[in-house]
Amino acid sequence: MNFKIAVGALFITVLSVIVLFFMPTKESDIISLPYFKSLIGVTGFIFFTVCSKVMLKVLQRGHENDE
Amino acid sequence: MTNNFSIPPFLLYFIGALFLPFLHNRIRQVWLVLISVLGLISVFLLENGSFWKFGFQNLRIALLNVDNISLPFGYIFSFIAVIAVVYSLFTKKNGELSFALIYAGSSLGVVFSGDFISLFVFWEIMAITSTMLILYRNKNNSFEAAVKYIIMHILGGSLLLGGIAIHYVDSNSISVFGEINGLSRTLMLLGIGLNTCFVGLHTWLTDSYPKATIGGAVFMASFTTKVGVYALIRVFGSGGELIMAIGAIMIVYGIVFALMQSNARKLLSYHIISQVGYMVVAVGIGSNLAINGSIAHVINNIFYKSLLFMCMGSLLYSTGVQSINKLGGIFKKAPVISITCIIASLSIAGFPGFNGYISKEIIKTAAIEEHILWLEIVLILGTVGTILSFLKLNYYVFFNSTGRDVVFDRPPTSSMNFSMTVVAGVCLLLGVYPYLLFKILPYNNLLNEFNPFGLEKILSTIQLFSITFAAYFIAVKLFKPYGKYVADIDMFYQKIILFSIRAGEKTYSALLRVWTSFYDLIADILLKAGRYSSTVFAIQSEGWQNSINLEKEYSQDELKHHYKITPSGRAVLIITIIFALDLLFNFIWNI
Repeated sequence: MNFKIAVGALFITVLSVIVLFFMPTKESDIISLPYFKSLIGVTGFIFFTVCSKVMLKVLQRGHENDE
Repeated sequence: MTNNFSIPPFLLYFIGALFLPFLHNRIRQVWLVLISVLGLISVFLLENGSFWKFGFQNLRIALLNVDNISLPFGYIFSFIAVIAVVYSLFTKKNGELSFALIYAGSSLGVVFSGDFISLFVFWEIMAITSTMLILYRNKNNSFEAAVKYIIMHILGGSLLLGGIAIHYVDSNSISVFGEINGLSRTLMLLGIGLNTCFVGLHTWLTDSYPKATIGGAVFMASFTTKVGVYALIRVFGSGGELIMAIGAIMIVYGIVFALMQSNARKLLSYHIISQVGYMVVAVGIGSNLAINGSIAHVINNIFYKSLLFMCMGSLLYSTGVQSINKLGGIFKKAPVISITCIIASLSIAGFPGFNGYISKEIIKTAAIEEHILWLEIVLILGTVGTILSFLKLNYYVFFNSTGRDVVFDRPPTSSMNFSMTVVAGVCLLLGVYPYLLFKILPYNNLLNEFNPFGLEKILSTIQLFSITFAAYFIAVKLFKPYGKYVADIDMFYQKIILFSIRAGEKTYSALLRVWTSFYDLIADILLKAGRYSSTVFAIQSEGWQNSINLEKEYSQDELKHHYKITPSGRAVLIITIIFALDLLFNFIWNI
């Protein structure tokens, strides 16, 4: 199920990149690239996953999480 | 004395709270709703320019001073007070609800204060009453969390008061509308920053909100940090790069720590820091459009954040559990909670059609207009992190099958379901028709041309969501809740304070030894000279020696344990004393 959701989401991503590619843009900077958000999405995913895992190694404590 | 007469709304809440302990059952419930609705009406009857001032000594106290900045805060605070009161009707504790009413009233008191003295008084009432909302949970370390909360707020209040005092000495004015410079600006930034949860001053929030009462957490998530944002706009509305940077750090820090949490309400608490970061960033940009964005985000945030706390509070009410790793597969058992939580999650993540999207777009547009590219990238990164956090929360709480052992034995009350449904509806309404929101913003003329629903904007946002969804579901196991306690920055404070205290004690005992030796030497000389009785010196010398020996009675482990009991409290106390001495010194020096 998780894999199907991931494939579906990737399909939507590609579709939006294609549509944005054919849309006229006013600006010519990096932000107006059609795949800019995908780039940030992947970068953000790696950044937050790595950061939280590293911090978890440093800050984890043995006792149970309090309710 | 009074012009354009209006009743300061806080009075209604205070009076309501005063009578509440004498009422029971249905009458109590009706009274609560009546007071909060009257409070809402009283705020909506206020007009821009209404004020209520009086003279005290040579000060001009303004308990009511309405302008285009305070009004939107007043609207949202009084509205959410009604929702939170209805949500909390299940509680039998009159005291808790009385404090909640005073807390809501004092929040309104802060935003409508025209002078710093009134603002400070309401600020402190907020701190005391919200502490009571933690204490009333009366469970699992809530006392320790409450003590830490109040000590941190006393520190924040002291800094704010110091700033106000210096500002008064410098300018002979206590008006909140004047410009603030120099040391008073720094102290006020720190005092307000503590309430606004600047990184490093934030641990009071993440420790206390998960330990507050179910209804109390809804009130707290709506008021304290947002009042901080109001004060930030009021005092530092012209912006600055420092404030912008602080906001950007808050966005990233809040998300990184939220991703590590297993306690649902603690995860939400870290996201308060992250979301308030957006507001602080907007204040840092400082343009009128950015201030619009900041206030719009306050309003939207109060809706979806209170809804998230209501959802997780309802789960806690129904199951007695708030750990993500123990919950799971709740969707079918609690459809109202699940659906409203998903709506709130989409709102906080900023999906098109939900209210969070609108205010984030305003802030992003303000950043683009000021050509701050790095900030725009941070804002988009923040969206990615928020999506990840709330995918984790919703996936593990509602859909994952790990929590089959959780007993859902007490369904949420109808008043809980009603409150959650109304707020979810508002999140959708403001997301689809944001012009209702635009109308109450201070510089709404700037939004006449603003169109958040451009095809390009929507498509690129959907792209951001879909790529993050894909990445999450490919690596879903990476986000499995850890299930244990995760320390925060105050762990380092504790180590520093522990080190300082021990170093201080060693220095003290060394000095004491030198002094005793010196004393003995003098005593010997004098005794030999035969002028004084030896008894006096013998007794005093023995006294000094005993005070040294007292230290030796503690083993290293005992000392370590002793300092670990209340390290944050000690830290705050020491810092407060240092600041108080500094202020006193400055005061005497200036005389």
